[in-house]
Amino acid sequence: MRTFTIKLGKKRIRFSDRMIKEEEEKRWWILPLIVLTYLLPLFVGEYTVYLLNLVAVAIIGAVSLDILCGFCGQLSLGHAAFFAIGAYSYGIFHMTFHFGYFLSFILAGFFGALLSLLIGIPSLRLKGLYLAIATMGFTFIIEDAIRFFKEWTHGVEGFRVSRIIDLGFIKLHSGKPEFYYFIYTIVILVVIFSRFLLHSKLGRAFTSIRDSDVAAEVSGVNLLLYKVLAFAISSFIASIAGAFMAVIIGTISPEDFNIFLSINYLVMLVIGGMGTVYGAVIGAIFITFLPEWITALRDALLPPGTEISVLQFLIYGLIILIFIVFEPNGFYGRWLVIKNYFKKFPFNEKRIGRVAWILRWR
Amino acid sequence: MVIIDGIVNGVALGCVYALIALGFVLIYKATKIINFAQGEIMMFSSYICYTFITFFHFNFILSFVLAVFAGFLLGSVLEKLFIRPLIGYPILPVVIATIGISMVLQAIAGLLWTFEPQKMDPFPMTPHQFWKVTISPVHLWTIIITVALMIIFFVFFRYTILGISLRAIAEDLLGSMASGIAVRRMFNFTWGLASALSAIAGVLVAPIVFLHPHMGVVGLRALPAAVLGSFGSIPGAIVGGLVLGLSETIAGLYLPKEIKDVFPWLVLFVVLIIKPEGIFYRYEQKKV
Repeated sequence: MRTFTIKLGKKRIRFSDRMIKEEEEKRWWILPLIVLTYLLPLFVGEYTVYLLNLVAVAIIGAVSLDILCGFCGQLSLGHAAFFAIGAYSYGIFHMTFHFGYFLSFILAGFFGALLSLLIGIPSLRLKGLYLAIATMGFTFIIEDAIRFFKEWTHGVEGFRVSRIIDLGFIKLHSGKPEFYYFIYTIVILVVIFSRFLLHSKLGRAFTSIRDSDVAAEVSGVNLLLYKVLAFAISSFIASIAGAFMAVIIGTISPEDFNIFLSINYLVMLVIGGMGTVYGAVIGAIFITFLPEWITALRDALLPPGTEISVLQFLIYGLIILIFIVFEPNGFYGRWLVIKNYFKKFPFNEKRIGRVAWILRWR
Repeated sequence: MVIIDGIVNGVALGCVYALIALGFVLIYKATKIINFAQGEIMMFSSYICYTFITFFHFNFILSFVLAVFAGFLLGSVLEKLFIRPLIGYPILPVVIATIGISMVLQAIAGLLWTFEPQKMDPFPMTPHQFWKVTISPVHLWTIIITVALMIIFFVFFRYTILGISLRAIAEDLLGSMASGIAVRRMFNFTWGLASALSAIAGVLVAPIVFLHPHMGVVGLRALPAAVLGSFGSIPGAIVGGLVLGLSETIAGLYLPKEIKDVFPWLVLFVVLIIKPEGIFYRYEQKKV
């Protein structure tokens, strides 16, 4: 616990970190949730376990995008590119060069972080929408580069990655429940890491850049350093998520990493609640299960053989629009509003303010 | 004579890029957001033109005009429905909302016209011969229509009260509100105008790329053109589009196909790293 003092005339007031903490959280529900997470594969079938593994990848990816977009306010449409870099560099390091599993994962992460400098350094001069355009271009370029370097990535015919991870004492096949425990341990680590990140010095610097980069710079935040750090951390985690995606899917091709994937991850943040870690997790779970529900809906409503992508596009688009227009803070924001409503139940104000929350977006 | 053909093709492609980029720039100037649904509006209105030609058997010019009107209507309806409630929001949610619009439009196009690519080539096939240059009618008409539109736009922004008030809004929103310009109606009009432009571009580009619900990606390729000519400058968008189209076609003659497809984005990257303000940059004061 750090303390610092402020002089007010003759008075000296001592502050500590804990005194200026803005919200107090009750965390009693975290332990049961973790236990439930680990018990879940006992009750569901193998296909659901496979889906839950994909959910884990989505959670890691969404949290990493949240660090960049929600915490630091750098709108990125290029997350699919980092996924692709992670997946392909894991594949190349592991399958072509026969590096170890652990080393390949770490190298994939570092490779993603290295390439993120390509956007991170110009991001000092590119603000808001320019950055969105640049990152979108980055997605297109990486997708095309995978097609271009055929001898390394096998181009459109797909790159086969081994679905087994050898931890030394146990071999994990990504279709089996054992893998589930492994990947959810990593998910929990990533979530805890990003919670700590949000409340650390680094996270405070990120949020100050999000709220106003000029004000942040004036109050002593090194803009270049912190923006590059945000990009590097985010793309490190995203690349590792991409590597896991490669392990789970088994065969990766450039179409898996198109602009739609980037948009997908942004939608997760919008639906869950941008700028909050739990929101990203909720959004990731919701969006990953959505195609399953859409397929069920298609089977129930439409004649068989209807093209699935019509319904998918329609529902995705409508969900984005409905959330943006009616609840831009997502599920988590709505949950906080409801919680606060019940917290001060007899004495609440007439209307629940919506405008105050929107300040989170910038 | 390959290089001259390349130049002609490049100018035609550049004209299409310029039209779409102009749409981006118009919306950006008025409302300070980028409309990522521009390409999809383009796709939708060229499908409407296609429907008029094949199902109602209208002649081409009539259906072209009708498609442009449909584009105008589509743009203003979309603005009214989804962008109007978001006035005053920060840019990010509005931009994501336009992405949502683009997805919905793709889905509706898929429902109405299926995902089979359709061919629409209403222009005559026989190429014109000028002096030593052969030029196909599509390219000729693209260039003629674009030049005519540029002249119309110049006159519109210079001499009509509507154009002047659009410029005033771009310059100073509060001031133009105070002096009695109906700003909201103008936003709506801007969206309609930009959508009509992209409808024209869509009909002109449809013979080159097949009609397909995912055709809107072509529209996104005009974004680098707008960036190249500094977002928010109308002559910049035109010059940017021409430069981009020319360089893409000429590079396509010498480079492998994979690079040609992402060429606009490579150009964008180079521009953003070297000179992110673009060519036609005008100093703009920004309040913090």
